[in-house]
Amino acid sequence: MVRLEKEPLNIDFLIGSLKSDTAGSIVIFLGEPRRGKGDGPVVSIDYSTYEEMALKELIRIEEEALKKDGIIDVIIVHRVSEVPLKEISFFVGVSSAHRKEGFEICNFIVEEVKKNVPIWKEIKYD
Amino acid sequence: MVTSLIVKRINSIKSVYNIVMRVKILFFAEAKRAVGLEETEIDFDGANISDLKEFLKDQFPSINNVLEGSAFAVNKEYARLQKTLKDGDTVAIIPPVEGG
Repeated sequence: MVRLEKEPLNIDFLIGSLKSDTAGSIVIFLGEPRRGKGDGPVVSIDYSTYEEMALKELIRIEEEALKKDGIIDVIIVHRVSEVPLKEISFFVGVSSAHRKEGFEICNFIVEEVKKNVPIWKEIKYD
Repeated sequence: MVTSLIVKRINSIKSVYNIVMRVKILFFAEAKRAVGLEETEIDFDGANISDLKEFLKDQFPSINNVLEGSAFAVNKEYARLQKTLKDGDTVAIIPPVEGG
């Protein structure tokens, strides 16, 4: 499943959706907006997107991930709205038979999204 | 080599007959802020993305710096500078992406 979401994410629901009788591992990555050193009074990050292309890219990444041996299911969700600090902006979940491929594919998905999916951020200050 | 000769030939034919195409341009993030537009339609007599880039620099001087660091997508697919354009294409300027 891939999704671009305006509202806060329901993490329990997303993790629950990854459970299956054949998965021995669920690896989750949660991305959050952050205040970097010297950034000043950052309160949130406003994410914008080219929605049609972003969904196309997310589906491509999901399909590539699901081709790998041992991968059972993949969920990729990115917020596309203003996200306050300490809220989740990016969720990647991978269920797999074993943890090794789960960690590898989770990392692969995060890197691909950061490199190729047309999503941009604008830092908002207090 | 052969491709570039063909492109040059097509360009020369276009210039003789003044063939133009209508292309939709989408601006996002930094590009949108630089030009103050989300999208526009242009009549363009070039052949590929590289020509379009020069055309946009001329039409929207405020976008020059953004264009140098941006990728391009044609009809929602990333495209190289050599990608040939056709009438009705939608070209998006994709400044460096920052998801995550």
